[in-house]
Amino acid sequence: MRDQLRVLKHGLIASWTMYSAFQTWKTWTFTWLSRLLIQACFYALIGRMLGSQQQVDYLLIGNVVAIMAIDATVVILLTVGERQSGTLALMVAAPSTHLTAYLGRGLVNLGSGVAASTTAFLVLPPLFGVRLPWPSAAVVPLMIFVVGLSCYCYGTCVASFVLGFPSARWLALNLSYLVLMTFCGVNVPTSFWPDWLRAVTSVLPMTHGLAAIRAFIAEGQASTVLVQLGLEVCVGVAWFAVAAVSFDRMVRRGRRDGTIEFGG
Amino acid sequence: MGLFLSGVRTQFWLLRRQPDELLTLCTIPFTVVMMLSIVMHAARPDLVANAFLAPTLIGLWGFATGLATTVLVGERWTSTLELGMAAPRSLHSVYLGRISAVMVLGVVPLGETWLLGELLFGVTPAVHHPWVFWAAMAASVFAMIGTSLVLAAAMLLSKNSNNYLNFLSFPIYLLSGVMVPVQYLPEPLQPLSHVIFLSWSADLMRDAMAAPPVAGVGWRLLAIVGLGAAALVGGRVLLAATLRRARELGAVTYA
Repeated sequence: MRDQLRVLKHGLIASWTMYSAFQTWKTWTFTWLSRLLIQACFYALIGRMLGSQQQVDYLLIGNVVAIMAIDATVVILLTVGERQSGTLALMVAAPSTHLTAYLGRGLVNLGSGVAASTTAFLVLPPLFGVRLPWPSAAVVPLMIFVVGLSCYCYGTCVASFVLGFPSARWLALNLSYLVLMTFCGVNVPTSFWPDWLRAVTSVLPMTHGLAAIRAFIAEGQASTVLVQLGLEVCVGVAWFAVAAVSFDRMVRRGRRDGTIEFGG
Repeated sequence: MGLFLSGVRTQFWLLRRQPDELLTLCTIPFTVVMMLSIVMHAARPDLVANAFLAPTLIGLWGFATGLATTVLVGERWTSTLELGMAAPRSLHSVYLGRISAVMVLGVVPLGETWLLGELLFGVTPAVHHPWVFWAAMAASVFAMIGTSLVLAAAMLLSKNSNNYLNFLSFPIYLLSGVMVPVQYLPEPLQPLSHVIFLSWSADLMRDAMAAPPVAGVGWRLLAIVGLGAAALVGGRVLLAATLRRARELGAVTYA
């Protein structure tokens, strides 16, 4: 376990070095963060156009949390990039498991997403007249972090399937987070969808976590919040488990048929 | 004209070889479902036209930023930009042809939106003034070609140009009122909308879908075409300046 944590630490340092080569705090703040804040405002303004503060509340909170999903699923691009750089064969040959390095590849971006969502949660509600139950609302960023982890696990699972089809990585990234933003209760309640689709959303990340956040902000029952958060964690763990198995199968298949080296 | 058509042909050939570049077409259905689900859930059938128009114009912008503006940067990455610059004739027309080919495809999200609206939600908004609507769409495509040329040239100025390009999505959607009319924006922001051609397009197309007669069609179309022409001229000047600067600095290509 200690060895894996050391691998994770060095993986994080490498990820941060790469991330900070493309993003400075200025570019992050003035291009990425501001873009995400405006994205949430775009949907909140739709609520204003609908003429209902209830709609504004719903759309703003949903999108404040949802903007984090983009960063959380960027792990899809990063794992494919990692494989294209030809490191997989070396990691498989190393005594430590390759899963730690690969599946932890996007944690820096997850941090970026959680930071963006948290900033949006702190800055935007007053601008749109959304009331929050302060001071207890200070817990919400922690809940956003839980949703972020769950979305990240889902992203790693998609990544494990896309690794064999690198040219589909952008498509996979976009579809992955758009599915969450469209169907998981961000803009309309999941009850709006047909039963079969609602069943699908119940095993997707975001659905339960966002429901927990909404219940918490509406000062609903603590048990509802905890149950929904628990379900969100379970969903995340399940996606991560599938990711690990799928990734391992891909490696075993690669070793068997000689396709493990995919550098380009 | 020959060089322009050559650019058009090249771009279509490239798209056939790399269909994954048509990513925007795959993301539009989600925008359609998001917008329509919001207005249907709120029981506001009067806003269905907005929900149809938003994915259409977002798709047009998506084609511009996702594909058209990366034409020159793509040339740089494949190390063909310097070859083009060394050619005996100026290749600006070729690049413009490639951008135009992409933007003609920008009409596809319109059909996609209408089709999905009917298939998934069983709704299609009436277009009461079809000629005005199509004239606005054509003018918008023209203006988007000019805007794309400006952005494509500007992309050559920075290694991190993708960051800036990524930024130019929701701010533009918000300021141009593709879904929510500009009057819902805070007043200090509203003047900014007038210099974005998409705001004129969105307003005119929304009016063309509504039953009342459309006022001031001529000057509104002129505003879209005028902004597009200004961008086209600006883009041509910027492209020439950018390529000259890259040549002078020895930064035509990266190691």
